This record gives sequence, C-alpha cells and structure tokens, in this order.
Amino acid sequence: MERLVIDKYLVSLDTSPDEADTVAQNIANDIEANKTRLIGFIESLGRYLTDEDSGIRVKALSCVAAVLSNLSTNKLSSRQIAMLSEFLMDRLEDEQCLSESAGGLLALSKMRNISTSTVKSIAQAVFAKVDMKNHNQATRYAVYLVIDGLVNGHIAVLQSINEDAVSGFTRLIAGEKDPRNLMIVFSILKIIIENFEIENAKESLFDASFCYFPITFRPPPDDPYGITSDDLKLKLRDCIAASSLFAEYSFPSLIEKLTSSSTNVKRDTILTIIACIDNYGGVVVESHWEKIYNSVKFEVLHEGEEDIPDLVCKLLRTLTATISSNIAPKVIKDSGLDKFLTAAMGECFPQVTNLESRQAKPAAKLLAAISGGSFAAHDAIAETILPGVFSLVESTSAATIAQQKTALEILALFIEASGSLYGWRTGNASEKSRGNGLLIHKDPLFELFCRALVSTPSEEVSFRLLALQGLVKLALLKEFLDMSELGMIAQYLDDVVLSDTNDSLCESALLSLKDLGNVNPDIILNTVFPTFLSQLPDPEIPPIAQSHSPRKHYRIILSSLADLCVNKAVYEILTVRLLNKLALIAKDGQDVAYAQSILTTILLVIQRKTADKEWDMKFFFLSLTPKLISMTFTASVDRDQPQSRIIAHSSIVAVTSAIVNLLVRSVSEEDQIEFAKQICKIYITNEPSTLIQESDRSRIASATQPLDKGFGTEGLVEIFTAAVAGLRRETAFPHPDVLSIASNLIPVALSTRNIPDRLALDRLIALLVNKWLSKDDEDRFVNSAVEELKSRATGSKSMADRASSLELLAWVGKSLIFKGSRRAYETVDLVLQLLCDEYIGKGATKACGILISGDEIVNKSNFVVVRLLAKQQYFGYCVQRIVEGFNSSIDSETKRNHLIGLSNILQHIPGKIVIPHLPSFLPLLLQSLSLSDSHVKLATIETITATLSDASDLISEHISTILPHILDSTADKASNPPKVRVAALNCLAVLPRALPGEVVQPYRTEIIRRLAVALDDSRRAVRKAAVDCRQTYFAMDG
Amino acid sequence: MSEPINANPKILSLEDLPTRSTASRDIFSDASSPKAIFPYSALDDAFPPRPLYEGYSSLLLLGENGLSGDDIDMKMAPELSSGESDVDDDDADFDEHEPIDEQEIYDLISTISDPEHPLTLGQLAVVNKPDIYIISSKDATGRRQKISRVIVEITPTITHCSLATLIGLGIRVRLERCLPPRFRIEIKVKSGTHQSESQVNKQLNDKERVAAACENQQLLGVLSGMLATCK
Repeated sequence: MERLVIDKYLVSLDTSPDEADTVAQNIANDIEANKTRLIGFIESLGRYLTDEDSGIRVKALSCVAAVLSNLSTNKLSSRQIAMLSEFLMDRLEDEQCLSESAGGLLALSKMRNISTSTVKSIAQAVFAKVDMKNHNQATRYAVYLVIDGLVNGHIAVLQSINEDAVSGFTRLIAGEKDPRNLMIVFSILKIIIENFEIENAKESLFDASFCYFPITFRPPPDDPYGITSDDLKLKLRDCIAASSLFAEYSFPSLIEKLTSSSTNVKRDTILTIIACIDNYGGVVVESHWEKIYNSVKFEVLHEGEEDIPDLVCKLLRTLTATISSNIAPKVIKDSGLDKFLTAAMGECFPQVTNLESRQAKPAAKLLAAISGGSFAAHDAIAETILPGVFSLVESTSAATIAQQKTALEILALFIEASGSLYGWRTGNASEKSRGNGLLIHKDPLFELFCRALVSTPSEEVSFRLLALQGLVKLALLKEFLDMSELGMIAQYLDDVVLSDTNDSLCESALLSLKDLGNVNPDIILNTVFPTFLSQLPDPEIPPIAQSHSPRKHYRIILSSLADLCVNKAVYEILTVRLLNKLALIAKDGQDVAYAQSILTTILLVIQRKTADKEWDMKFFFLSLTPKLISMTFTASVDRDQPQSRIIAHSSIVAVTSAIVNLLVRSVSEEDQIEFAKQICKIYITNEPSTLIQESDRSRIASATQPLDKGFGTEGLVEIFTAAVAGLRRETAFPHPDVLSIASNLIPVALSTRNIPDRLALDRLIALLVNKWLSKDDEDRFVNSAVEELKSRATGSKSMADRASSLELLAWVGKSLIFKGSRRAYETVDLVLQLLCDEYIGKGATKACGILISGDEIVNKSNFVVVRLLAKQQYFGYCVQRIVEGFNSSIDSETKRNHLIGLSNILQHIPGKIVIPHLPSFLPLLLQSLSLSDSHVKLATIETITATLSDASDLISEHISTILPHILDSTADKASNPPKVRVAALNCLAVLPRALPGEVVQPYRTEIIRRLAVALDDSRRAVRKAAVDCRQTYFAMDG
Repeated sequence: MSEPINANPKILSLEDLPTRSTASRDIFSDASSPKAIFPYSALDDAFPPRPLYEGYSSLLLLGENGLSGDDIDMKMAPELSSGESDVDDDDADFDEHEPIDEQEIYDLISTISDPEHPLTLGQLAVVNKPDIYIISSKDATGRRQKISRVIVEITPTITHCSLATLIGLGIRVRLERCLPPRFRIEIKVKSGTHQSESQVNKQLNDKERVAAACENQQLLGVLSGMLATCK
C-alpha cells in the first residue's frame, strides 16, 4: 500500500472533495481486485489514525469511511467486518471524529456478511457512547443514518435487544430540533413503535414524538433540503398514529390542542386525530368517542373558521366508520355506536326540526357526516331524523318558503351522504348493492322535491334550483329510483329547459339532463329527444295548429340537443333526425335561417368533440361526409327543385363545408387517401365518385365541372376547398401536377364574382401553394403565375381586373409568408408600392392586412405550414417601409393609405412583436388617431392599450399628445362607433396601472371631468366602461 | 374590529337578485332571423353570419358588384369602405338608445359591500330594485327633459343600525361618480325601517355635510373599501 496515495487523499480532502473521492474509489478498486490488502491499507493509515492532531485523525477516518462505502457489499468477510467495526466503535469516543466513524459504521452495516453479534454491538455502542448534545446537525445526521440503516436492514437483531434499543434511541434523539434530522428521526420512531415491544416504554415514546406537536416550523427561504412544514407534519402524524397503545395519551393531548386559537394548529390536530382513529381500530377508539365528539362538535354547530367544519365532518365520518366496523348492519343496542348515535341525534334533532333556527343546517350537516360513516349509522339516522323533517313541511302548509328551503337543504345533505356511502349510479350496469336505508323515505322525498320544483311560483328561483338539484341527486343515487321515476324527473327537467325563463334554472336543468344521460343514455333517447324534437317548428304544420304553450326559439332547443349528445350513439340518432328535419325544411323551401341552424347543430357537436378529442370521428366521417357532399351536388344540379334554394344556399354550404372540413381533418392519413381520390374524381377528372349517392353518380359526373372557368356552380368550390384544407400534408395530393392545377385555377378565380366562391378559390390556391408545391414548383409558380398577376395588378386597364389580381396576390403572398418563403416579399414590395397608387391604394391597404391575417381555413389546424417567425418577419419588413413611404408621400390620400395599411397590419400582430418597433412608428400611430376611419382608430387604440405596460417609458413621453386623442374618441359621434368608445375607455382605464403615478397624476382631474360625458352615453356598454374607468381614477392615490 | 351591530343578517342568494334579462339581445346578425330569447348557450358563436358581405370585407378586396363596371374609380367603390363608421357593431342599429333605468342604478349600487359584512348591499337586501325610482318629466314635445331625479330608498338590516348613514353616503358617492351630472340624487331610508329616519335622511341629503364627510380621510378610506367590490 502506497503511503503516497493516502497522503494524496488527505491533502485533496481540503482542496477538492471530488478528487479525494476518486482516490478513495481507486483504493477501493485495488482492494476489490486484491491488489491491496485491507489490512495493509489500515496499517498504512495507522500513524494518522492515532495522530495527536485531531484534524489529521478526522481525515484519516474519513478515508476509511470513504473506502468502505466504495467497496462492494460482499467483499469483506464477517471477521473483517467485525474487526473493522470494533475499531470504529472504539473511535466513537473520539468526539472530533464522530461523523467519520459513523460514516464507516454505516458502510459496514450495509455489508452482506455482517454477523448478528456485530450488528448488536454496533447498536449498543452507538446508544451507549454517543452523546448527541455535543455535536452539530450534520454529525447527528450521520449517526441517525447508522441507526436508520440498522433498523431497516437488521430489525430482527434490534428486536432482540428491544429494551436497549427503545430506551437508547429515545435518549439519543432528546432535544433534536433540526428539520432534516427530525425527518429521519420520525421515520425511525415509526418503525420502532410499530415493530418493537413498547408496552413498557409507551409513555416515553409517545412523549418523545408528541413533544414536537404541533409543528410550527417554517422553512427558511434558502432551505437547502427543501423540507416543508407539511413533510414534517405528515411524518410526525404517522408516529402519533402508529400504535393504539398511545390512545390513552394521544386523544387527551390532542383534544387539549383543539383549544388553540390558530386555525393551522386546529387543522393539524383534527387531521392527526383522524389518522389516529383510522389506525387505532374500533375497539380502542370506542372508549374515546365521547371525549372526541364533545370536543369537536362545536366547530360544526357554530360554523367554525375556514375548512375546519368540513374537516370535523370528515373526522366524525371516520369515527363512525371505525366504531361501526365490527358491527353488523344494524346498530347493536348498548354498543359504543349506539350510544354515540343516541347522543348525537339527541343533541341535533331539536335543531334540525326547528327550521327557523340558524343551527338547523349545521346540525343536519353534523348528522349527515355521521350517517356517511357506516350503513348502520346511516340507516338509523335516516329512520329517526327524516320523518321529523317531513312532518314539518308536509303537515303545515303554513311553512314559509324560507323554512321549506331550509328543509330541502337539510334533506339534500342526507341524500349526499347516502350517495357517498351507497354509491352513485354509474354508466355500466352495476352489481346489486345493499338496500339503501333512505328507501323507506323514497316516496315522501321524491314527492317533496317534485312539488317544490313544479308547484312553486317561478320567481322563487333559488328555492326551485335547490329542488332541481335535490331531484337530480335522488335520480343519481344507486338503485334508488326506478325507470319511470327517472323518466318523470327527465320530463320536469325538459319542461324547465323548454319553458322556464330563468337562466340559471335552465342551465342547471340542462346540465342535470346531461348528467342523467351520462349514466343512462336511454333517458335522452326515450324521453328528452322526442320532447325536444317535437318542439321544433314543423314546416308542414302551420304555426297556429302547433303547440298551444308559448315555446322557446328553435335555436335554444337545438343548442340544448347539441349539449345532450352524451355519446356517439345518441349523436348518431340526433344527426339522422336532424337531417330528416333538414330535408323537410328544404322541401318547403322557405326558411334558410332555420335550415342553417339545424345543420349548425350537427357542426357544433363535431366541433366540440374534435376539440377535446373525446370521440373517434371516423364513423361520422364515413357516414356524414358522402351524405352531405351528395346532398349539395344533387341540389346544385337540380336547380329548379325547391330544396335547391335551401341546400345550395351560400349560408348552408358554408356550414356543410365546415362539417366536411372538420371530419376530414380528424381522420388518419390512411382514411384520407381514399377520400382524396374520390373527391378529385368529382372536381378534377369529372368521373363518377363514390361520394355521390349511386343513383345520381354518373349524372352528376357528366353534368358538373365545378372548377372550370365559367361553369359557375355556386357553393361547390367551397366544399372542395374545405375538403382539401382538411387533408394532411403527408396525404399526397391525389393529382400529380399540383402546379398546373394551381395555375389553371387563377383565371377561374379572377373571373368569379360570387363572393363565397371567390374566397374559396383564393383559399384553395393558397392551400395548394402552401401545402403541396415543392421548392422548384414554387419558384416556377412565382416566376410565371405570380409575375402575371403582378403585372395585371399594376398595369391592367380594368380596375376590377387590377383589384381582383391584387386580391389573389395577397392570398398567394400570405401562403408564401406563412411558409417562410423569401419570394413572398416580392409580392409584399408590390403591395407596399401600391399604397401610393391613386386608384388602387385603398385596395392595397386591405391587402396589407390579408397578407398576414389569420384565417379560418388557411391555418395550422388544417396542416398549413406556418413558420414561427412569419409574423415577426413580415412586420419587421413592412414597418420601416411604411414609415418611409408615409414620410416621403406628399398628398394626404397617400399618407392616409399608409396609416390605414399599418393599422390593418397591427391588428394581426401580437404586442410583444410590436413593442421593439414602436419608437419608429409611434408618430404615425398618433396621427392615425386623428383620422375619422373607425377601423383605423380601433386598431390604433387597441395597439396602444396592448403595448402600454411594456412600453411605458415611450408612452409616458408622448402622454400629452395621446391623451387628448383618446379622450376625444370617447365622445359619442359618428366617427366613434360604440366599439371605439369602449376601446378608448378601456385604454384610459389601463393607464393608471401601466404608467408611473407621476405621469398620470397631472391629468387625473381633467380625465375625471371629461369622463362625465361618457357617463351619459346612449349605449349601456359604453356607460359601463365609463363607470369602471372613472372609478379607477377616483381610486388613484392622491 | 368591534362586535358587528347585526351579527346575523338575512342573506339573499345571488340567484334571487334582479338582473338584466338577456332576453332582448338579438343573437344572430342575420336579419331574417327572429329576435330570440337565447340565454345560455355557446351557439352564439356557432351561427356565424355567413352570407353577409361584412364578414368577408377584410378578406377580399372587391364586393359582389365591384366587378360589374370596367372603369370604376376605386375611390368610389362603396365596398372598399373608406366609410366613416363601419366597425361592425353587435347590434348594428346606431340610433338605438338605451336610457339609464332602475336596473342600471341597481347594478351600480348593489355590488357595494357592506361595511361590516363581507357581503354586498344587494345580498343583504339593503338595496332593492323596487325601491329605486327615476323621475324625469317630459316637456311639451314629449321628449324627456334633461334634468332627472334618482331616488334610492335603503332598508337597513335592523332598525337601530348606526351604519345607515355610512351606507347611504357610500351609495351617494358611488352614484355621484357614476351618473352624469344631470341627475339629482336623493338617498332616503325606507319609511318605517329606521328609528331615527328623519335625522338620517337629513344627513344624507345635506350637501354641506356630505362634502364635509368626503374631506375626512379616514371616512374616505372606509368608503373606498366599500366601493372596491363594485362591478
């Protein structure tokens, strides 16, 4: 063994602990490989181990510990371990080296070959020789680790020295205060309490734990160990609850702590009592129920602070459950439970049955908590208490609404408790459970709640709401109401939804129907749907002949139906019914709005279910898309039929397209491939397609060329755009030559006048360019098609031609900007140039916005490539050029165009991108505030509001210019429509928070004075904003 | 804080407070659709005004008729809307006048919090909608005259409530801040609900005393606490 190595360790221990560790590892490896003998290693250390200088002794021992802990656990023989541990045990008396010798012992205690006697002697040595009081926190921690290792690895050995271990450990930990040490102390204590013979030492062990209760530790801000107060509380709670032998000490001590004025201590105490009740078992707890109950009940009855009453309820429930556990379903006479229930009921009954009393509800809450504890308790309480409540509201019709309300609240508490005990209905047909004790009161309960809901004057909203919620709880109780009763409840709820005028009642009724539907979809199908559908106006029956009662608008009924689609089967049936209805309305040929609402209902459910990814939409994709596409095509071919007017109406096609888009986009690539082929047959190759119903297939194939110039079938393009938008990028476009399709569509788009169709074509071209054009094709497209468009936009003689070319350019430009293509900026340049154009400048201002605006079709959810920095890049590119263009332009019209163009861009750019550029264009922004264009004004004010807090310095500088303009914008005049006025007021309201006080303060009085005008605005929304805004200025300091 | 004067007041549920009915709101901008009572659903956004040109105006350069003539001066084309006020409004009718009514006054003051309970004056039924009166006389032409009176009668939770003046003052300050100056505000204790009714009424409507009270910093602090919960 080289001295040198050891010297190296000793030296590096001070300078670089990592290096020392490596040295120790090397030594260990050498021993492991038998290159060095253990004895040799110790011998070469020998001199240092007994050195006069304690510092050197510490280092030497540290070396031993480090090497030992690096050895594999089966390297040392039992004898070697015994020898080493004897040596280290001797060193325990050397107080300076305690931490190191403990470290060595810890390593040894983990060795596999350690003998029982060695373990025993290590434990005894630690208990006998170590005096913790003289050592710092880290050293004590090392000692606890040794014990922890022994307790966890050799518990049987320690049990053989039971007395020594228990008393030794309690002596060892006396006075421990460090949180990290306490964590380990508590876990060792728990093991000892649970595994050792502690009958004789129970009091000292309990004291050793309970002296820490309640934990008031609060971790320092820079706590290196990350121990929280809750960690300690939980560990300590485990110790106190660990043995039922503690019961005689723990309950009295804990009850004493309940008198604390601190809510935190109370909460901790209650939770600890709950843990004790849980762990000690029924027999032990039974003898303590009275003290516990009497000391906690006031917290419920007198409505204690924060969550304390709820925790006490939990405690009572646990208490009941625990003392009931050994007892049969019925309460046994004279058992602890019997006495407990008698006491609690005796105390609470008079209060529960005095509906005037303020304590009626708290008393019911207490009893309900107990009844939630066990079946026996529940049934006994239900049998005794509930009839008392019934008699109050049944016999005396004189009971006021307030009293009846209290009664319902009380009963609801018991129903809730019953549900938590006996269980709620779930969707799947459940196994038989035991009969609910509430069943004996089923009829009065059901009748009472029904009567309260149905025959109370409708202005008693909160009362009826209570009744409604109670009924639903009854309905959801497992094995309680039968199907006919459920049906009745569903009908009452239907009536509320269909005829009640109060929002919260309707909302609650609808939600409840949904809850019922979730556990029993048949209710929706058999009771709710027929009622709701029959309330929809029927075009074949004249309105007078229909139902007599005033009914709600069909949109409410439809939206309720959409809300009630609790599963796919229900939705499938709804779509069938609604499509039939749609066919009827279409045949009638009158009401487009109604037809659109019907179709929108179908859309709405798909929107929701695809948004939360709840359903696999493939089924609906396969069934609905062909149906809808076929329907639209048939209608557009048979123009003369009455239903065509409806089905091919642009507002209907818009919804149809939205449904097709969502369904296509929700299915997988494989499912899309076949669909893509079929849709191309209809639109591109004009062949018979399976998407069209068979009887019309070939007729439609020969009669329609929807994408040809001049074919002009309105609406059909929109469906194609929606379908193509939904295709994944990976789904290859089903036609090899996307470039020529896109190029050929350009003349079609330019010659289309119908707005929805032109928009659809613009979008379609943008989609093709963005999703499927390769880099080379993109260049070709820009070089030919885009160049052509550009020259038409600048040079065509026809204004309409210039405008439509510019429009299409903007859409192509958008798709390229999104894609991050450099060549997009050739188009941007042109648009910015055109801002100076005398004729088409206004069009260019809009194009500025189109280039970057978000779109409902051309966006990420339709698999469009949208580069992260696209907006930033575009904005950075434009802003400088617009500022320059503005400054160099002479006539006011051109200046105006630049301002409007800028504001059209700003609408689509998030504040944090705008802020860095703000200094350069703020002057422009201020000028646009004085324009009369309300769009520009709105965009400008919103930009200022959004950037206020992040650019407060800059805005503060210009506050004297900005404020008058904004104040002017609050005035009620034609150039300030309500939206502008509200935006201006909201902007003003943000100022005091966003800017430093001394900037706003000088204007405060003036602002308050001027705002008085807006207080008299003709619009309520503006007045509301003015009131709120003015209040912030009144509330300003000073 | 000392023991509250009325420790256990009667409390109304939020559902039972009067609110402005949403019934009058027309939810579909589609002109052909009937006005609908449509209180609680997401369908608002779900039925877009698809066929209307306004929806497309920011996406397209040309309107339906914009392509008809070949030599249109773009400045003349109405669809390009250099227009004065073409920000879409929820209900596009610009002349619609929504006068200040009792519900609006109620909404202004019912959310003031009580000085001794963490509840609002509405919940405590100190302020009740039927006890709010707006009186504005009409002139010969039938038009409402500018000057109007607002009378608010408050109902203290108990008849000896010493905080009635403070509550009344809070309501007065709130209304003075929130109503245009053409309103004359009168705050009264509802007849028969307070022991020293006339005294309180005198205090609440005496300009000098109200002004003096508002100079008192401590009182002002309490008032701003009461008004902080206003919505």
